[in-house]
Amino acid sequence: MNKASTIAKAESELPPSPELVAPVLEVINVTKTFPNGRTVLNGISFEVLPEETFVILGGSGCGKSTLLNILIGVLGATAGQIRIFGEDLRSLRGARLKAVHVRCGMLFQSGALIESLSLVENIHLPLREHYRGMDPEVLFETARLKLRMVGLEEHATKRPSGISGGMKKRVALARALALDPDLVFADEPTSGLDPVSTREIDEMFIRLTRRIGAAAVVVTHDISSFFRIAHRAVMLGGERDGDLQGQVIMQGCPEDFRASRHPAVRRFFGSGESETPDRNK
Amino acid sequence: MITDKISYSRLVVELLQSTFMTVLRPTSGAIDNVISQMRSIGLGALPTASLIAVAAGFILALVLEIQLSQIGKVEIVPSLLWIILTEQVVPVGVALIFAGRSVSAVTAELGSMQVSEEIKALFTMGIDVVPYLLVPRFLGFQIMLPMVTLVGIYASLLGGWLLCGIVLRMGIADYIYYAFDGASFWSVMIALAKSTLFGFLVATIAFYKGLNVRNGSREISEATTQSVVGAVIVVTMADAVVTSLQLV
Repeated sequence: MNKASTIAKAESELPPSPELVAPVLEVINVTKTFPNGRTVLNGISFEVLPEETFVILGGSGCGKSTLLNILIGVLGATAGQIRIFGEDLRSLRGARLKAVHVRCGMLFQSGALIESLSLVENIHLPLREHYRGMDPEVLFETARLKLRMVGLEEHATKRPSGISGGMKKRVALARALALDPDLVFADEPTSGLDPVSTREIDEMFIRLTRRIGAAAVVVTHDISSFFRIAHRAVMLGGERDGDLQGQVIMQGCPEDFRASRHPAVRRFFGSGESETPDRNK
Repeated sequence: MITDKISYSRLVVELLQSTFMTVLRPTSGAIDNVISQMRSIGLGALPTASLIAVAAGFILALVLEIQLSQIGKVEIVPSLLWIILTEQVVPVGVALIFAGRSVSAVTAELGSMQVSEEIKALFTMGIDVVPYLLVPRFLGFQIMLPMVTLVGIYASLLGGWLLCGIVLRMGIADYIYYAFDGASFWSVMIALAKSTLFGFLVATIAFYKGLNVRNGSREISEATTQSVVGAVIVVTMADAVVTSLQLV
């Protein structure tokens, strides 16, 4: 096992055994067909356990982002079921859906910070909306604390347009963790970052999610990130995988992927070989 | 609203419900948001609207003076100004200024929030987009359009007086006397009712177009153009309908 992965694993406790705990997220035979007839996801099933970091891997066009949008309730699945904290996502409406969203954090690829608000106000926003009875000063102090956790307290009053891409991701991470969620979704958290920033974000992500005991579902095609953060993963077939596009190619822990002889897995990991930590040593 | 396009009727129903709830149970955050939106939507339009209203009053008075002087009835210029400006020109003119200035700004802002996933982020944080984003802007339009219209009415009458004072050598007291001679307080109420209706129409068009942006900056510019053109058409048509109903 490489050094970075060892550090990450050492910092965390191993996730509980599947037989002992109920999953926080169950994806059961999910299919998504768009109105134009194109099926992008076909019979996807997996489950995510409390406190584990679960990675959704795959090349371009495999439907990773579509799957994530279905998991966060933005898109509906054509068939199949999503159970989140034991509840059927499709049946959730209004206050019950909001209650589930409060237990989830979402880190967007672009950061998706509210441009009209300062960095600290961005983190303060979910706190203000969900803890209306509390002293605003206490909530602001909590937001500053979250910003300090990602090392950006001195930039608290800046607007998102005034900071770098890496800093935006850190603020977005702080915002995703503002309500101390039980489950964090992350869409390509390291895309567009240089290797040093990628490593920083990965290590920060591992440290902060594990500190609050949150499970995480991370969508990525970055192999170095995958080996650093994943407890388990699912790989979806992409454009180059023919009939397997949009289907589960493999599920397992990082070591299983490393040892796999499946041609699609070999091809995917081979294409990113120069990015793997082993080669970077 | 996040991925599926929202219909205009659904948007209006959700907006009215949320506005009702916000007005019934306002929070300090909501009040701050409304004040901030009143400032950006309406206060910024005030200098432009006032300047145009003064010019409109001056030009209308000039036209009336030229025509009415031929039949020796120049003393009714102020009262005609009052009727035409208060009930027709200013409410429509101010609504068109809002269409060009604030409707375009709100459409572009909501459109870019869609493209940059800010609205999706609000949804995933469990924050309702309608009360958080739309209601403060809606109240901004509903409060500021009538207020700016009221200021515009007095600014346009001032413009009319500038002409009457310079050309007709009419003193301010005479001008006010003639203006209010045929004036009715009802005219101001009609102006305010019209501007409230126009505020509703232009705001909902801006929200509808802005929230239905999905793909990139080109769609933002298209939505902005469509919302401004739509607002101009709807305001003009609504004015024609309301004025016709007055005569029934």
